[in-house]
Amino acid sequence: MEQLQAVVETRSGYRLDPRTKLFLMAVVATAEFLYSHTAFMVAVALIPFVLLLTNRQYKTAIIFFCLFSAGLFVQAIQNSIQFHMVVNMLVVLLVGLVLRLFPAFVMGAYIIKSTTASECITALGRMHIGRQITIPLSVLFRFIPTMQEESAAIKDAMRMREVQFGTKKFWQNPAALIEYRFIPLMISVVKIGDDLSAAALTRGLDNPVRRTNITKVGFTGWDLITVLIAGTALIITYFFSPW
Amino acid sequence: MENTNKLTGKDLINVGIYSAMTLVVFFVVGLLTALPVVYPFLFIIWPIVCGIPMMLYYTKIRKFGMLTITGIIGGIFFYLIGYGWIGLLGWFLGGLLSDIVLRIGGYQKFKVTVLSYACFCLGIMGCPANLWLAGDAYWENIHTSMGDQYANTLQSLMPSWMMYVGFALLFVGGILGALLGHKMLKKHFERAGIV
Repeated sequence: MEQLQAVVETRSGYRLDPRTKLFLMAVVATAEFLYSHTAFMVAVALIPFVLLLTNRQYKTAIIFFCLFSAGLFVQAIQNSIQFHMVVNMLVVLLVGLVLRLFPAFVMGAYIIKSTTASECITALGRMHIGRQITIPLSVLFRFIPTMQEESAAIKDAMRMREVQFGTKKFWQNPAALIEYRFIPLMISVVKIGDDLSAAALTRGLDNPVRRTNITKVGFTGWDLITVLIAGTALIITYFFSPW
Repeated sequence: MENTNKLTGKDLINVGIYSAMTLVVFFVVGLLTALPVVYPFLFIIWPIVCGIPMMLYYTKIRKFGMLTITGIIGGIFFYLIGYGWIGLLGWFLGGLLSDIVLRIGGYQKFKVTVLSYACFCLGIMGCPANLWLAGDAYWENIHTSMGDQYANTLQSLMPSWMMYVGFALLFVGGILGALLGHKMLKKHFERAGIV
């Protein structure tokens, strides 16, 4: 788990403070839902896109770019074509999902990949957010990939017994899918969670003394530049858009 | 350590685990909203399916505050994926309310647990509450972003009285979900030695 490494080598070059990342995340999540022109939406989407490039997540960036352009294209031709009602609903929803929600999702992917757990906890601590929030949050992010892995393993095991979506056995008893896929997943996740809390407690999670950290967290010139560029781009496209 | 009312590290880790589980389940079920026709039924499906992880969660709760934290985390999550501040507020209030019910009624009692879970489910209302509370600006937004056809379908499925029906459905669904979760708890988890 790269995200759980305690010691971080001092990386030089472009990197942001976790607080700046969270701020940009909030901006993106809010801005997506303002009514706006295409230029503004593109500006919003560019923020996570450029950040992904700086973090060398080229694959995610390219996928995002393709989906977003496809979404823009469909939206542009949408009003000239009349689809059947159900198809229209699906198309509209997919386009809406891509254009409105994907910037925030991709931003989330960037934040999770580029921030180590200790960086994140230190930064949240500096914002005076108590451990009541930081500990559950870090456990949450630790668990979502684990749940995916476990779920895939259980899916493979259950395929042998034909407990999967779409088989004849499934239609005879759809509720069995919940019982055979979901309950084993919960059991294994609970077991892993118990191990995790034992490990964390032996490492002094309950220690009442303030947590120290060797990770360096602080605002740099990069943060200022990033926020300034993003801010001007958003303001210009919002107020003075040619379209 | 057992007697303190402050949340210990172990409690907080439990909060994280069960919040993760519930949110994932909630989100997977929520993908069904791709078809607006299913939307009204979700009020009953959500609480029932989420009842299973939540009942397991309730066996670990012995202190005030755990459900509130789950509510806040869920709320932040839904704020970020676009339900706005009403989503955040709804989840937070739902968590707080269910915590208060537990506090008054007593922990680890089945009947109180059912009631508390039903209250927690009321918080889910924070997600679609935008449709009624945010008013015309929100609808205009849907009209421009999703197209007129979608907005009209949604509007016809979601008249204003739907809000009260939604609360009732969530509450009933919460009770049913708690009973289902309890059954599963008896059938699987106690046998597996987890509870």
